[in-house]
Amino acid sequence: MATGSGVSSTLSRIGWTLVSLAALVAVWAVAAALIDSRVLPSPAAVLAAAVRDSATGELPYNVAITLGRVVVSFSLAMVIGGAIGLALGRSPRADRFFDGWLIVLLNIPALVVIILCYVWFGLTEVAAISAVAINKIPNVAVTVREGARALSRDLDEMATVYRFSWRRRLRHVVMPQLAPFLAASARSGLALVWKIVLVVELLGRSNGVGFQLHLYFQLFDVASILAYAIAFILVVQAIEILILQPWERAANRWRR
Amino acid sequence: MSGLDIAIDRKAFPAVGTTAERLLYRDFRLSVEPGSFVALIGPSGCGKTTLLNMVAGLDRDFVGQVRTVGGAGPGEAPPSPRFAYVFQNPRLLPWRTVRENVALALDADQLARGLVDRFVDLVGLTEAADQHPERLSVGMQRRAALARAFATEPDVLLMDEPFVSLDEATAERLRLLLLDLLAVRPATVLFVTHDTRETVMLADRLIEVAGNPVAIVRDVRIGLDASGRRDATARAAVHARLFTEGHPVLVPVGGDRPAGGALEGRR
Repeated sequence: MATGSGVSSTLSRIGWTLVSLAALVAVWAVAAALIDSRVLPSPAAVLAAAVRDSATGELPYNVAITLGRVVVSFSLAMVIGGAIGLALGRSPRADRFFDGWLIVLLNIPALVVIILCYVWFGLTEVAAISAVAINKIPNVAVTVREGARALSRDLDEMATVYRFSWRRRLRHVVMPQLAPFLAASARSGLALVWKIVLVVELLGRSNGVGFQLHLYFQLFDVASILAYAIAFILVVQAIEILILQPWERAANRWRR
Repeated sequence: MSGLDIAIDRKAFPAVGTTAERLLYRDFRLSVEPGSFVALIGPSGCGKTTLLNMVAGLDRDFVGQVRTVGGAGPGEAPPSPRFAYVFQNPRLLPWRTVRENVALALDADQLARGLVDRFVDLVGLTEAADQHPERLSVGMQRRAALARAFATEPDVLLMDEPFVSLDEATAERLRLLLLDLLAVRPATVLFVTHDTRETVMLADRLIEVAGNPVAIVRDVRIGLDASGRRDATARAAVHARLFTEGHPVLVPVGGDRPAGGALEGRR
């Protein structure tokens, strides 16, 4: 993958992405100019709103708050969901028993979980974070369970013969085999989690991007709504490109 | 070093669906002296690998016991003996380098004594020590598996056709390497193979098994000394005596299994 042609194809892919995004902004600008209404502000107006809220520190503050919630609930969901998936994938008996629970959890609407958490635990940070994590845990568990079912028996026997401790076994034998499954659920997880965090903030928090969106919705300030949305999309893309992708590459380095 | 006292009263594969239960072992007894090299030879699928797995503790679903005997000083009980197992596939962790694969099988004391580099060097993989296994040739992967097994300083070394499906020249080099390693670090070896020439070259004692349930049909000393093992003429003489004179069970061609017939079992 790291060949010369690989680098140039990466560059050309980035180039195409930039061209297509520029085209999208152009279409948006033209449409905004034609409609000429507050409900569809021009890109320049959105940029102005972003600059204004950045200058007051409001936008970076709220993005940081939301990002913090995303990181905590995402990590919780990955660890708990991964552990559940591993346990179910290794134990057919537990899997038979809990499979029904998992199906129920997968099908509860995110909004119901959020409302129940707020009702049961109050409008607190813990309730907000739990609600997001609970929404994501079953997805992680189901994906990791597939990986755990496919764990190599050969390597397991090798680890037994050479008396690997459970920690060594987890780190060097099990986790590398689960890495593609964890990466897949991290990918889809990040996208899902940050969207749910916004809803949680809208319903029961007094800061964060979701809260700001709610505020600007009441003020009917579409330019600011778009400014926050775009700011957060950029942050999430940065996480994807700067953290998730390099991690995945490192985890796959050994492949021929 | 410890020997082995194997007593399998009963081992069966349970019935699955329409396949009936299959009895592999009944009242099977085998003693392996400390420090000896025993080759276990017999038709495919008769249960030799299963025996190794029971000895290694990987398969505990049987009636009977495997004891290790001797070893520590006179009158002392042997401290829990170390087993190493060289599998038919090298079973290296593909996401760890050769050096890491060896190191992961060792304890802190062995790491401190530099056994990783010593055995990686002895099997001739120093140059490739920081490579991942999939970038190595099959022969080199087997060398890495040997390095790992010996670096753990095993009392008992179990080997399941470790040189199968290699070209003859590579297999021969690896057999010589195994003899060298055993000279450096002796161990009791239980070695499963189909290859009669390999048996003559490596083993002190030949156990031939067959049947269902498995029984020992032949138990002979081979006893070539260190120079005899490396001498083609001496090997050929012993091979002829053991395998070509009216002995129908095994076809005396290196690595070949009996062609067809009742002996070609399940793989």
